[in-house]
Amino acid sequence: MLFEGLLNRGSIPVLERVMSFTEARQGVLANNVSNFDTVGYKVKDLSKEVFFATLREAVERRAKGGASAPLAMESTGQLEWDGRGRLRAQASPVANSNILFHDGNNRFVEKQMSEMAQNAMLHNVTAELLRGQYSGLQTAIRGRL
Amino acid sequence: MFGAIDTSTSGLVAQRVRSNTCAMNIAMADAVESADGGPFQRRAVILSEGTGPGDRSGAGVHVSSIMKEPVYRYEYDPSHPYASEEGYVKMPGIDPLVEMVNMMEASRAYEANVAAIDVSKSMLNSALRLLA
Repeated sequence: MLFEGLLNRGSIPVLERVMSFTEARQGVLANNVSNFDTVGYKVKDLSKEVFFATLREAVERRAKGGASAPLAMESTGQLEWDGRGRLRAQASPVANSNILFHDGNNRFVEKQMSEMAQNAMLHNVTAELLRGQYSGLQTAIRGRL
Repeated sequence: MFGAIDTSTSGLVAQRVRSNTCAMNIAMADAVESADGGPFQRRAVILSEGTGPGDRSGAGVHVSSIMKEPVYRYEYDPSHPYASEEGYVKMPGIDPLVEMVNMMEASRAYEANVAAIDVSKSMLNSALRLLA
């Protein structure tokens, strides 16, 4: 109880959601990279715009519900959140990602790689922030600096 | 996260098979005899989406088949023991240039997958550092 209260306030649940999302998206981007030469493959992605919009809504909803209200993410077509904040992601093909090559593949190598780098940076920054939160809690639990 | 690394690994395996096949094609470019009878038939790797080796998530890529292509070229060499009555020898229809280009493509795609694994690894590391 105590720990649930400790870990479910402030920015910790938000950072956790961002990490779940970036992790799932990394899998999708790696899948795109491994299929660069697959005939007929269409680039897939998880929309980060949609994710951040639902995250903002959830944060605003929680702000109205008081400090200990849970962060309830609404499920979208691609992202399915269960009550405990676990994520099940289903990537869908991107509309008009790039020109269609003769082999029926619409790969966009540079974009995929830069998206992957951005996604990793977001994940690493989030992990670092989460670490900061945890070490703050640890300091509070220990009761001294 | 381990899933992402598995996915990229399936890409590595598929591209390695592809570059092996190109090497075989180049090596056999002049082979007039083969186990199928007749000259060596060019092998083409067919990649398809989905279950890579050892990957149960349904993601990644795998080599679905290695097809034989019955294409030949005819070289004029009347003294050759396999020459036809007109003096032409049936040779495998392999263009070393095409094979080299394919091999380069495979090696670049391999590198792209290695880069993806590096990124996944750095993410995994940063997540694991949350423990310590």
